[in-house]
Amino acid sequence: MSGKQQDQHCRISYLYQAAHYLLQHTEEAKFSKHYISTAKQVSQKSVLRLHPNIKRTICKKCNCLMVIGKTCSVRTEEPSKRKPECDRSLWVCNECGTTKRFPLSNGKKKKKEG
Amino acid sequence: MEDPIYKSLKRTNAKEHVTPESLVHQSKILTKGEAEDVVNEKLAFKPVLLVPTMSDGKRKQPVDHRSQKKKSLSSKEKRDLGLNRVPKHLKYEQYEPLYSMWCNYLDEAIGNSTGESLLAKMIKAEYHGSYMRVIRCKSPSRIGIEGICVHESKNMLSLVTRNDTVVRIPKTDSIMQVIANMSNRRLVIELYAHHLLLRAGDRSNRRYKGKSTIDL
Repeated sequence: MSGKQQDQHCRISYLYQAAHYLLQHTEEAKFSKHYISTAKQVSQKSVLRLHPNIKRTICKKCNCLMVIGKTCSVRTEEPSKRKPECDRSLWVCNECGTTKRFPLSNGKKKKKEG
Repeated sequence: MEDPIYKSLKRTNAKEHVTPESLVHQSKILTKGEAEDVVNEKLAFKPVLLVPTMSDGKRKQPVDHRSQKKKSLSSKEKRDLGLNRVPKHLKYEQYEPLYSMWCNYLDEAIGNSTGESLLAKMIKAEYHGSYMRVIRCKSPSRIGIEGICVHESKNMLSLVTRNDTVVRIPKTDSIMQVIANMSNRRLVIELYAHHLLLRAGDRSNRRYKGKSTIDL
């Protein structure tokens, strides 16, 4: 943890946890969007990168937390029958309708150079 | 009479054969044997295109930037979704755990610092979820209001009071007291909100110049 940026780290992690808490225990899901957009602004201004695992749980358009069942729905996509490694999961945000696709397989094994 | 500007192109006779000698004569790179090979493989008995083909007679369509999807919401869409509108009634009990989370965050961020470093960190700190009280304000009806800050925008602060109502307080011309119950100590900080007229995220990296304040 960088000494200069430690307070901004704390701030972003606090905002993320607060957004999760408010989404679960309150009726208003709107505040989670505001908190996460604030967290994104903070990371922009202080040039901190969010971990990709965190970014995968946030909708890119409306900054809503993607909680399966509450704010998003998930289904699988099979674009081709011959290639099972192309299967993907499709996450659809309930509020704004944007989609995210994640591959379900680990990818093709690379050939070892021998 | 030859025109100095316009010169007609050379007319090639279609009946002329391409002979190895002509190839040797024109390009000085091929030898006679190579030229023969070229003629036999590539030119003899094969159609040679003289005019370049156009694909379907259509040109490439220019990229239409308006039809491309934008990644973030426009301000009109944000207004329609009502993202910045805070509801008028919220239950205070649901936000009390948020305040304890905020006190833990302040413990981590500030810890044991005092004096100038404390003030510098407080300016960059997060106020969502903090307990605030209005101490001095231009309009006397707002003095004494206290609650948990739920929404912070460029000019306004929204607090949830113990009566389960949401009060929106403008940052201009008001001085707030931020109260924190941390593990070692209890902090009470006075915030001159009219110097912090920024969105919550923009406040994190800003350097402040000295500004004079008018006593309210």
